[in-house]
Amino acid sequence: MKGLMEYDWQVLISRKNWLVLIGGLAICYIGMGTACGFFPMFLMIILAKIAITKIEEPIGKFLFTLPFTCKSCAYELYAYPLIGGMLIGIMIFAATSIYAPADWPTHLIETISSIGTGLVMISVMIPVFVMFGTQSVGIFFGVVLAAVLGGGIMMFGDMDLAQIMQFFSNPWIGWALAALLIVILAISWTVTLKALNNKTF
Amino acid sequence: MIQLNNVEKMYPGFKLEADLQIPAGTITGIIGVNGSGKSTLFRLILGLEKADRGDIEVFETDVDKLSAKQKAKIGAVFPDSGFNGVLDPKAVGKILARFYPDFSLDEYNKLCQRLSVKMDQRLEKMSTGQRARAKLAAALAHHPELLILDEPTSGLDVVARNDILGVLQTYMETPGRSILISSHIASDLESLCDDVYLIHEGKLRFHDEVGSVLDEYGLLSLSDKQVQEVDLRGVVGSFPTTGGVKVLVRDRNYYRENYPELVVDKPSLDHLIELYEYGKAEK
Repeated sequence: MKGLMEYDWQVLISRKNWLVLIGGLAICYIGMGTACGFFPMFLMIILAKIAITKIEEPIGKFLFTLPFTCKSCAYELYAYPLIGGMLIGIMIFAATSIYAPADWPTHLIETISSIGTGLVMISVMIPVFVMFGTQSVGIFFGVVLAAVLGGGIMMFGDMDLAQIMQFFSNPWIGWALAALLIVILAISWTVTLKALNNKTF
Repeated sequence: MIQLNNVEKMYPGFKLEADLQIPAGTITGIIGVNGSGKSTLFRLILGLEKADRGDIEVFETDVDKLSAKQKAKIGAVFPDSGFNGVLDPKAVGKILARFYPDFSLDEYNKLCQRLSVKMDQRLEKMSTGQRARAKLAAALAHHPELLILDEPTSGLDVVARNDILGVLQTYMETPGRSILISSHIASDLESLCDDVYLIHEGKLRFHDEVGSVLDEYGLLSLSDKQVQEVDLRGVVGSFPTTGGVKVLVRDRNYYRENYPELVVDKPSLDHLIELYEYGKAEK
Protein backbone atom coordinates (compact mmCIF):
# COMPACT_ATOMS: atom_id res chain seq x y z
CA MET A 1 0.00 0.00 0.00
CA LYS A 2 2.95 2.36 0.66
CA GLY A 3 3.90 2.31 -3.03
CA LEU A 4 0.36 3.12 -4.15
CA MET A 5 0.07 5.94 -1.61
CA GLU A 6 3.42 7.34 -2.78
CA TYR A 7 2.20 7.10 -6.38
CA ASP A 8 -0.91 9.14 -5.67
CA TRP A 9 1.00 11.63 -3.56
CA GLN A 10 3.58 12.20 -6.32
CA VAL A 11 0.79 12.64 -8.91
CA LEU A 12 -0.92 15.17 -6.61
CA ILE A 13 2.17 17.29 -5.99
CA SER A 14 3.16 17.16 -9.67
CA ARG A 15 0.07 19.18 -10.52
CA LYS A 16 1.30 22.46 -9.06
CA ASN A 17 -1.23 24.68 -10.86
CA TRP A 18 -4.03 22.57 -9.49
CA LEU A 19 -2.64 22.77 -5.95
CA VAL A 20 -2.51 26.58 -6.16
CA LEU A 21 -6.14 26.63 -7.33
CA ILE A 22 -7.29 24.37 -4.49
CA GLY A 23 -5.34 26.43 -1.98
CA GLY A 24 -6.95 29.62 -3.27
CA LEU A 25 -10.43 28.07 -3.10
CA ALA A 26 -9.76 26.92 0.46
CA ILE A 27 -8.84 30.47 1.51
CA CYS A 28 -12.02 31.84 -0.11
CA TYR A 29 -14.18 29.26 1.64
CA ILE A 30 -12.49 29.95 4.97
CA GLY A 31 -13.27 33.62 4.46
CA MET A 32 -16.91 32.79 3.73
CA GLY A 33 -17.06 30.54 6.82
CA THR A 34 -18.23 27.48 4.86
CA ALA A 35 -14.90 25.67 4.46
CA CYS A 36 -15.41 23.18 7.26
CA GLY A 37 -18.68 21.87 5.90
CA PHE A 38 -17.57 21.66 2.28
CA PHE A 39 -13.83 21.32 1.79
CA PRO A 40 -13.00 17.99 3.43
CA MET A 41 -15.77 16.27 1.47
CA PHE A 42 -14.75 18.05 -1.75
CA LEU A 43 -11.10 17.05 -1.39
CA MET A 44 -11.97 13.46 -0.54
CA ILE A 45 -13.89 13.17 -3.81
CA ILE A 46 -10.97 14.69 -5.75
CA LEU A 47 -8.42 12.42 -4.08
CA ALA A 48 -10.59 9.34 -4.70
CA LYS A 49 -10.77 10.28 -8.39
CA ILE A 50 -6.95 10.62 -8.53
CA ALA A 51 -6.54 7.24 -6.84
CA ILE A 52 -8.98 5.50 -9.19
CA THR A 53 -7.48 7.01 -12.35
CA LYS A 54 -4.24 5.07 -11.89
CA ILE A 55 -5.99 1.70 -12.18
CA GLU A 56 -7.64 2.58 -15.48
CA GLU A 57 -6.21 2.11 -18.92
CA PRO A 58 -3.63 2.94 -20.07
CA ILE A 59 -1.82 3.41 -16.75
CA GLY A 60 -3.47 0.48 -14.97
CA LYS A 61 -2.04 -2.17 -17.30
CA PHE A 62 1.51 -1.32 -16.24
CA LEU A 63 0.59 -0.51 -12.64
CA PHE A 64 -0.85 -3.99 -12.05
CA THR A 65 2.53 -5.54 -12.85
CA LEU A 66 3.95 -3.83 -9.76
CA PRO A 67 4.18 -5.82 -6.51
CA PHE A 68 0.93 -5.24 -4.67
CA THR A 69 -2.17 -7.32 -4.08
CA CYS A 70 -5.72 -6.39 -5.03
CA LYS A 71 -6.54 -6.24 -1.33
CA SER A 72 -3.90 -3.60 -0.61
CA CYS A 73 -5.05 -1.69 -3.70
CA ALA A 74 -8.62 -1.73 -2.41
CA TYR A 75 -7.50 -0.47 1.00
CA GLU A 76 -5.46 2.30 -0.59
CA LEU A 77 -8.35 3.52 -2.74
CA TYR A 78 -10.24 4.36 0.49
CA ALA A 79 -7.35 5.21 2.79
CA TYR A 80 -5.84 7.83 0.47
CA PRO A 81 -8.92 10.10 0.25
CA LEU A 82 -9.82 9.48 3.90
CA ILE A 83 -6.36 10.45 5.18
CA GLY A 84 -6.33 13.45 2.85
CA GLY A 85 -9.81 14.50 3.94
CA MET A 86 -8.93 14.19 7.62
CA LEU A 87 -5.69 16.15 7.23
CA ILE A 88 -7.39 18.95 5.29
CA GLY A 89 -10.27 18.83 7.79
CA ILE A 90 -7.87 19.40 10.69
CA MET A 91 -6.12 22.24 8.84
CA ILE A 92 -9.36 23.91 7.77
CA PHE A 93 -10.84 23.53 11.26
CA ALA A 94 -7.72 25.07 12.81
CA ALA A 95 -7.74 27.92 10.28
CA THR A 96 -11.45 28.70 10.70
CA SER A 97 -11.18 28.49 14.49
CA ILE A 98 -8.39 31.05 14.41
CA TYR A 99 -10.46 33.21 12.03
CA ALA A 100 -13.69 32.84 14.06
CA PRO A 101 -12.79 31.32 17.44
CA ALA A 102 -16.21 31.67 19.02
CA ASP A 103 -17.75 29.29 16.46
CA TRP A 104 -15.31 26.43 16.96
CA PRO A 105 -17.93 23.87 18.19
CA THR A 106 -19.98 24.48 15.04
CA HIS A 107 -16.85 24.21 12.89
CA LEU A 108 -15.98 20.92 14.59
CA ILE A 109 -19.40 19.41 13.91
CA GLU A 110 -19.28 20.70 10.33
CA THR A 111 -15.82 19.19 9.78
CA ILE A 112 -16.81 15.80 11.18
CA SER A 113 -20.05 15.83 9.15
CA SER A 114 -18.13 16.80 6.01
CA ILE A 115 -15.67 13.94 6.45
CA GLY A 116 -18.57 11.56 7.15
CA THR A 117 -20.43 12.76 4.05
CA GLY A 118 -17.21 12.45 2.04
CA LEU A 119 -16.87 8.86 3.23
CA VAL A 120 -20.39 8.08 2.07
CA MET A 121 -19.71 9.73 -1.30
CA ILE A 122 -16.48 7.81 -1.91
CA SER A 123 -18.15 4.60 -0.73
CA VAL A 124 -20.48 4.94 -3.68
CA MET A 125 -17.96 6.50 -6.05
CA ILE A 126 -15.09 4.04 -5.73
CA PRO A 127 -16.89 0.78 -6.60
CA VAL A 128 -18.89 2.50 -9.37
CA PHE A 129 -15.74 3.96 -10.94
CA VAL A 130 -13.71 0.78 -10.50
CA MET A 131 -16.44 -1.28 -12.19
CA PHE A 132 -17.52 1.14 -14.91
CA GLY A 133 -14.60 3.59 -15.24
CA THR A 134 -14.35 7.26 -14.38
CA GLN A 135 -16.52 8.00 -17.41
CA SER A 136 -19.43 6.67 -15.41
CA VAL A 137 -19.74 9.89 -13.41
CA GLY A 138 -23.40 10.03 -14.48
CA ILE A 139 -24.09 6.68 -12.82
CA PHE A 140 -22.33 7.87 -9.67
CA PHE A 141 -24.36 11.05 -9.34
CA GLY A 142 -27.54 9.20 -10.24
CA VAL A 143 -26.97 6.68 -7.45
CA VAL A 144 -26.11 9.42 -4.94
CA LEU A 145 -29.14 11.50 -5.88
CA ALA A 146 -31.44 8.49 -5.76
CA ALA A 147 -30.07 7.43 -2.37
CA VAL A 148 -30.29 10.91 -0.84
CA LEU A 149 -33.75 11.69 -2.20
CA GLY A 150 -35.12 8.22 -1.64
CA GLY A 151 -33.68 7.93 1.86
CA GLY A 152 -34.73 11.46 2.75
CA ILE A 153 -38.30 10.97 1.61
CA MET A 154 -38.56 7.60 3.35
CA MET A 155 -37.25 8.92 6.67
CA PHE A 156 -38.46 12.50 6.75
CA GLY A 157 -41.31 12.69 4.26
CA ASP A 158 -43.94 13.18 6.97
CA MET A 159 -41.88 15.58 9.17
CA ASP A 160 -41.56 19.38 9.17
CA LEU A 161 -38.21 21.16 9.70
CA ALA A 162 -38.58 21.46 13.48
CA GLN A 163 -39.25 17.74 13.79
CA ILE A 164 -36.23 16.95 11.58
CA MET A 165 -33.97 19.17 13.76
CA GLN A 166 -35.30 17.46 16.88
CA PHE A 167 -34.63 14.07 15.29
CA PHE A 168 -30.97 14.89 14.67
CA SER A 169 -30.43 16.38 18.12
CA ASN A 170 -30.84 12.85 19.58
CA PRO A 171 -27.29 11.68 20.46
CA TRP A 172 -28.12 8.07 19.54
CA ILE A 173 -28.67 9.22 15.96
CA GLY A 174 -24.94 10.04 15.74
CA TRP A 175 -24.03 6.49 16.80
CA ALA A 176 -26.59 5.02 14.42
CA LEU A 177 -25.20 7.07 11.53
CA ALA A 178 -21.65 5.99 12.41
CA ALA A 179 -22.73 2.34 12.43
CA LEU A 180 -24.53 2.82 9.09
CA LEU A 181 -21.38 4.43 7.68
CA ILE A 182 -19.29 1.42 8.73
CA VAL A 183 -21.76 -0.95 7.06
CA ILE A 184 -21.77 1.15 3.86
CA LEU A 185 -17.95 1.20 3.86
CA ALA A 186 -17.72 -2.56 4.39
CA ILE A 187 -20.14 -3.29 1.53
CA SER A 188 -18.37 -0.77 -0.71
CA TRP A 189 -14.92 -2.21 0.02
CA THR A 190 -16.12 -5.77 -0.62
CA VAL A 191 -17.61 -4.79 -3.99
CA THR A 192 -14.44 -2.88 -4.90
CA LEU A 193 -12.19 -5.80 -4.00
CA LYS A 194 -14.26 -8.18 -6.11
CA ALA A 195 -14.12 -5.76 -9.05
CA LEU A 196 -10.35 -5.42 -8.71
CA ASN A 197 -9.86 -9.20 -8.56
CA ASN A 198 -11.83 -9.51 -11.81
CA LYS A 199 -10.15 -6.57 -13.51
CA THR A 200 -8.43 -7.33 -16.81
CA PHE A 201 -6.48 -5.19 -19.25
CA MET B 1 10.53 -19.70 -15.08
CA ILE B 2 7.42 -19.38 -17.26
CA GLN B 3 5.25 -22.28 -18.32
CA LEU B 4 2.09 -22.22 -20.42
CA ASN B 5 0.20 -25.50 -20.84
CA ASN B 6 -2.71 -25.77 -23.30
CA VAL B 7 -3.57 -22.12 -22.81
CA GLU B 8 -6.48 -20.73 -24.79
CA LYS B 9 -7.95 -17.27 -24.88
CA MET B 10 -10.84 -16.35 -27.11
CA TYR B 11 -12.02 -13.00 -28.40
CA PRO B 12 -14.62 -12.36 -31.09
CA GLY B 13 -12.87 -13.32 -34.34
CA PHE B 14 -9.58 -14.29 -32.66
CA LYS B 15 -8.30 -17.24 -30.65
CA LEU B 16 -4.96 -17.55 -28.94
CA GLU B 17 -3.50 -20.98 -28.25
CA ALA B 18 -0.15 -21.34 -26.54
CA ASP B 19 2.17 -23.93 -25.10
CA LEU B 20 5.57 -22.65 -24.17
CA GLN B 21 8.37 -22.87 -21.65
CA ILE B 22 10.85 -20.17 -20.76
CA PRO B 23 13.64 -21.55 -18.58
CA ALA B 24 15.77 -19.43 -16.28
CA GLY B 25 18.87 -17.86 -17.74
CA THR B 26 17.55 -17.40 -21.28
CA ILE B 27 16.44 -14.60 -23.54
CA THR B 28 13.42 -15.67 -25.54
CA GLY B 29 11.99 -13.65 -28.37
CA ILE B 30 8.43 -13.65 -29.62
CA ILE B 31 8.08 -12.42 -33.17
CA GLY B 32 5.02 -11.85 -35.28
CA VAL B 33 3.19 -9.20 -37.21
CA ASN B 34 0.96 -6.63 -35.54
CA GLY B 35 -2.22 -8.28 -34.28
CA SER B 36 -0.75 -11.78 -34.20
CA GLY B 37 -1.26 -12.16 -30.43
CA LYS B 38 2.09 -11.16 -28.92
CA SER B 39 0.64 -8.57 -26.54
CA THR B 40 -2.23 -10.89 -25.58
CA LEU B 41 0.30 -13.57 -24.71
CA PHE B 42 2.22 -11.12 -22.52
CA ARG B 43 -0.94 -9.95 -20.76
CA LEU B 44 -1.81 -13.58 -19.97
CA ILE B 45 1.68 -14.27 -18.60
CA LEU B 46 1.53 -11.17 -16.39
CA GLY B 47 -1.93 -12.05 -15.08
CA LEU B 48 -3.50 -8.94 -16.68
CA GLU B 49 -5.84 -11.16 -18.65
CA LYS B 50 -7.41 -14.45 -17.62
CA ALA B 51 -7.08 -17.49 -19.87
CA ASP B 52 -10.26 -19.32 -20.84
CA ARG B 53 -8.45 -22.63 -20.56
CA GLY B 54 -5.08 -24.03 -19.52
CA ASP B 55 -2.45 -23.25 -16.91
CA ILE B 56 -0.01 -20.39 -16.71
CA GLU B 57 2.78 -20.58 -14.17
CA VAL B 58 5.45 -18.03 -13.36
CA PHE B 59 8.14 -18.98 -10.81
CA GLU B 60 6.31 -22.33 -10.55
CA THR B 61 3.22 -20.59 -9.18
CA ASP B 62 -0.16 -20.08 -10.79
CA VAL B 63 -0.01 -16.56 -12.20
CA ASP B 64 -3.26 -15.61 -10.42
CA LYS B 65 -1.74 -16.59 -7.08
CA LEU B 66 1.56 -14.72 -7.31
CA SER B 67 2.38 -12.97 -4.05
CA ALA B 68 3.62 -9.37 -3.91
CA LYS B 69 7.09 -10.78 -3.11
CA GLN B 70 7.07 -12.88 -6.29
CA LYS B 71 5.74 -9.98 -8.35
CA ALA B 72 8.68 -7.94 -7.07
CA LYS B 73 10.94 -10.26 -9.09
CA ILE B 74 9.27 -9.21 -12.35
CA GLY B 75 9.89 -6.12 -14.44
CA ALA B 76 7.62 -5.20 -17.33
CA VAL B 77 7.63 -2.71 -20.18
CA PHE B 78 4.72 -1.94 -22.47
CA PRO B 79 4.76 0.40 -25.46
CA ASP B 80 1.38 1.94 -24.56
CA SER B 81 1.36 1.93 -20.75
CA GLY B 82 3.55 3.21 -17.94
CA PHE B 83 3.59 5.70 -15.10
CA ASN B 84 1.30 8.74 -15.17
CA GLY B 85 2.67 11.27 -17.66
CA VAL B 86 2.68 14.12 -15.12
CA LEU B 87 5.47 12.34 -13.21
CA ASP B 88 9.15 12.79 -13.95
CA PRO B 89 11.82 10.06 -13.51
CA LYS B 90 12.79 11.54 -10.15
CA ALA B 91 9.26 11.00 -8.83
CA VAL B 92 9.19 7.55 -10.43
CA GLY B 93 12.31 6.66 -8.44
CA LYS B 94 10.62 7.67 -5.19
CA ILE B 95 7.57 5.57 -6.06
CA LEU B 96 9.64 2.52 -7.00
CA ALA B 97 11.57 2.79 -3.74
CA ARG B 98 8.27 2.28 -1.89
CA PHE B 99 7.30 -0.75 -3.94
CA TYR B 100 10.53 -2.73 -4.06
CA PRO B 101 12.62 -3.69 -1.03
CA ASP B 102 15.72 -4.26 -3.22
CA PHE B 103 15.43 -0.95 -4.99
CA SER B 104 18.45 1.34 -4.84
CA LEU B 105 17.88 4.99 -5.72
CA ASP B 106 21.60 5.43 -6.50
CA GLU B 107 21.58 2.57 -8.98
CA TYR B 108 18.36 3.84 -10.54
CA ASN B 109 19.94 7.27 -11.02
CA LYS B 110 23.06 5.70 -12.57
CA LEU B 111 20.92 3.60 -14.90
CA CYS B 112 18.96 6.68 -15.96
CA GLN B 113 22.24 8.46 -16.59
CA ARG B 114 23.49 5.55 -18.69
CA LEU B 115 20.27 5.63 -20.72
CA SER B 116 20.42 9.44 -21.01
CA VAL B 117 17.09 9.87 -19.21
CA LYS B 118 16.36 13.46 -18.15
CA MET B 119 15.39 13.23 -14.48
CA ASP B 120 13.42 16.49 -14.27
CA GLN B 121 11.39 16.14 -17.44
CA ARG B 122 7.80 14.95 -17.23
CA LEU B 123 7.18 11.67 -18.98
CA GLU B 124 4.43 13.22 -21.12
CA LYS B 125 6.92 15.80 -22.44
CA MET B 126 9.50 13.19 -23.46
CA SER B 127 10.03 11.90 -26.97
CA THR B 128 9.11 8.28 -27.75
CA GLY B 129 12.73 7.22 -27.43
CA GLN B 130 13.28 9.00 -24.12
CA ARG B 131 10.09 7.55 -22.68
CA ALA B 132 11.15 4.03 -23.76
CA ARG B 133 14.49 4.49 -22.00
CA ALA B 134 12.77 5.79 -18.87
CA LYS B 135 10.43 2.77 -18.86
CA LEU B 136 13.35 0.40 -19.17
CA ALA B 137 15.24 2.11 -16.34
CA ALA B 138 12.15 1.75 -14.13
CA ALA B 139 11.81 -1.95 -15.05
CA LEU B 140 15.49 -2.78 -14.42
CA ALA B 141 16.22 -0.73 -11.31
CA HIS B 142 14.89 -3.27 -8.79
CA HIS B 143 17.01 -6.16 -10.21
CA PRO B 144 14.16 -8.35 -11.41
CA GLU B 145 14.79 -12.01 -12.17
CA LEU B 146 12.31 -11.92 -15.03
CA LEU B 147 11.92 -9.12 -17.55
CA ILE B 148 8.89 -9.08 -19.80
CA LEU B 149 9.28 -6.55 -22.56
CA ASP B 150 6.46 -6.00 -25.01
CA GLU B 151 7.84 -4.16 -28.02
CA PRO B 152 10.41 -2.17 -26.02
CA THR B 153 12.00 -0.78 -29.20
CA SER B 154 8.78 0.12 -30.96
CA GLY B 155 8.93 3.51 -32.66
CA LEU B 156 12.60 4.04 -31.80
CA ASP B 157 15.46 5.08 -34.06
CA VAL B 158 18.41 2.73 -34.54
CA VAL B 159 20.60 4.53 -31.95
CA ALA B 160 17.93 4.27 -29.22
CA ARG B 161 17.28 0.63 -30.12
CA ASN B 162 20.94 -0.27 -29.90
CA ASP B 163 21.25 1.51 -26.53
CA ILE B 164 18.36 -0.48 -25.13
CA LEU B 165 19.60 -3.78 -26.52
CA GLY B 166 23.03 -3.04 -25.03
CA VAL B 167 21.55 -2.43 -21.58
CA LEU B 168 19.64 -5.70 -21.82
CA GLN B 169 22.81 -7.60 -22.67
CA THR B 170 24.48 -6.12 -19.61
CA TYR B 171 21.45 -7.05 -17.49
CA MET B 172 21.83 -10.71 -18.56
CA GLU B 173 25.42 -10.89 -17.36
CA THR B 174 24.02 -11.74 -13.93
CA PRO B 175 23.16 -15.46 -13.88
CA GLY B 176 19.63 -16.72 -13.27
CA ARG B 177 17.86 -13.89 -15.08
CA SER B 178 15.49 -14.29 -17.98
CA ILE B 179 14.00 -12.00 -20.58
CA LEU B 180 10.89 -12.53 -22.65
CA ILE B 181 10.85 -9.92 -25.37
CA SER B 182 8.56 -9.31 -28.29
CA SER B 183 9.09 -7.31 -31.42
CA HIS B 184 7.67 -6.99 -34.86
CA ILE B 185 11.19 -5.90 -35.91
CA ALA B 186 12.72 -9.37 -35.81
CA SER B 187 16.25 -8.18 -36.62
CA ASP B 188 16.34 -6.39 -33.22
CA LEU B 189 16.22 -9.78 -31.53
CA GLU B 190 18.83 -11.59 -33.63
CA SER B 191 21.77 -10.31 -31.61
CA LEU B 192 19.96 -10.65 -28.29
CA CYS B 193 17.84 -13.80 -28.07
CA ASP B 194 18.78 -17.39 -27.39
CA ASP B 195 15.61 -18.80 -28.87
CA VAL B 196 12.60 -17.49 -30.70
CA TYR B 197 8.93 -18.30 -30.99
CA LEU B 198 6.89 -17.08 -33.92
CA ILE B 199 3.22 -16.35 -33.31
CA HIS B 200 0.87 -16.20 -36.24
CA GLU B 201 -2.90 -15.66 -36.02
CA GLY B 202 -2.88 -16.52 -32.33
CA LYS B 203 -0.85 -19.73 -32.59
CA LEU B 204 2.80 -20.41 -31.79
CA ARG B 205 3.85 -21.81 -35.16
CA PHE B 206 7.63 -21.98 -34.89
CA HIS B 207 10.25 -22.38 -32.21
CA ASP B 208 13.99 -22.89 -32.47
CA GLU B 209 17.25 -21.44 -31.27
CA VAL B 210 18.21 -18.18 -32.92
CA GLY B 211 21.72 -19.51 -33.48
CA SER B 212 20.34 -22.46 -35.47
CA VAL B 213 18.17 -20.19 -37.61
CA LEU B 214 21.01 -17.81 -38.42
CA ASP B 215 23.91 -20.29 -38.67
CA GLU B 216 22.29 -23.44 -40.07
CA TYR B 217 19.08 -22.50 -41.84
CA GLY B 218 19.23 -21.42 -45.44
CA LEU B 219 17.04 -19.37 -47.75
CA LEU B 220 16.90 -20.81 -51.27
CA SER B 221 15.88 -18.54 -54.13
CA LEU B 222 14.32 -20.84 -56.71
CA SER B 223 12.62 -20.32 -60.03
CA ASP B 224 9.38 -22.18 -60.65
CA LYS B 225 11.35 -24.71 -62.74
CA GLN B 226 13.98 -25.26 -60.05
CA VAL B 227 11.26 -25.99 -57.48
CA GLN B 228 10.35 -29.09 -59.56
CA GLU B 229 13.97 -30.15 -60.08
CA VAL B 230 15.55 -29.75 -56.65
CA ASP B 231 15.16 -32.51 -54.06
CA LEU B 232 13.95 -30.35 -51.22
CA ARG B 233 14.75 -31.63 -47.74
CA GLY B 234 14.34 -30.14 -44.28
CA VAL B 235 11.90 -27.54 -45.54
CA VAL B 236 10.41 -25.15 -43.03
CA GLY B 237 8.23 -23.46 -45.62
CA SER B 238 8.16 -21.26 -48.68
CA PHE B 239 6.82 -17.92 -49.79
CA PRO B 240 6.41 -16.43 -53.28
CA THR B 241 8.65 -13.75 -54.72
CA THR B 242 8.84 -12.06 -58.10
CA GLY B 243 9.73 -14.73 -60.66
CA GLY B 244 9.90 -17.59 -58.26
CA VAL B 245 9.77 -18.72 -54.68
CA LYS B 246 11.95 -18.51 -51.58
CA VAL B 247 12.27 -21.73 -49.59
CA LEU B 248 13.46 -21.77 -45.99
CA VAL B 249 15.38 -24.94 -45.17
CA ARG B 250 17.00 -26.24 -42.01
CA ASP B 251 20.41 -27.11 -43.45
CA ARG B 252 21.93 -24.67 -45.91
CA ASN B 253 25.21 -26.52 -46.07
CA TYR B 254 23.46 -29.51 -47.64
CA TYR B 255 22.26 -27.34 -50.52
CA ARG B 256 25.54 -25.48 -50.89
CA GLU B 257 27.39 -28.81 -51.23
CA ASN B 258 24.87 -30.61 -53.44
CA TYR B 259 23.45 -27.75 -55.45
CA PRO B 260 26.32 -25.27 -55.89
CA GLU B 261 24.44 -23.52 -58.68
CA LEU B 262 21.61 -22.49 -56.35
CA VAL B 263 21.44 -19.15 -54.55
CA VAL B 264 21.52 -20.09 -50.86
CA ASP B 265 21.47 -17.17 -48.46
CA LYS B 266 21.65 -16.82 -44.73
CA PRO B 267 18.10 -16.06 -43.53
CA SER B 268 16.98 -13.51 -40.97
CA LEU B 269 14.16 -13.76 -38.46
CA ASP B 270 12.23 -11.34 -40.69
CA HIS B 271 12.13 -14.08 -43.35
CA LEU B 272 10.35 -16.31 -40.85
CA ILE B 273 7.64 -13.68 -40.45
CA GLU B 274 7.36 -13.32 -44.23
CA LEU B 275 7.05 -17.05 -44.62
CA TYR B 276 4.17 -17.39 -42.19
CA GLU B 277 2.46 -14.22 -43.32
CA TYR B 278 2.67 -14.66 -47.10
CA GLY B 279 3.72 -18.25 -47.65
CA LYS B 280 3.11 -21.79 -46.58
CA ALA B 281 4.79 -23.61 -43.72
CA GLU B 282 5.40 -27.33 -43.70
CA LYS B 283 3.87 -29.18 -40.77
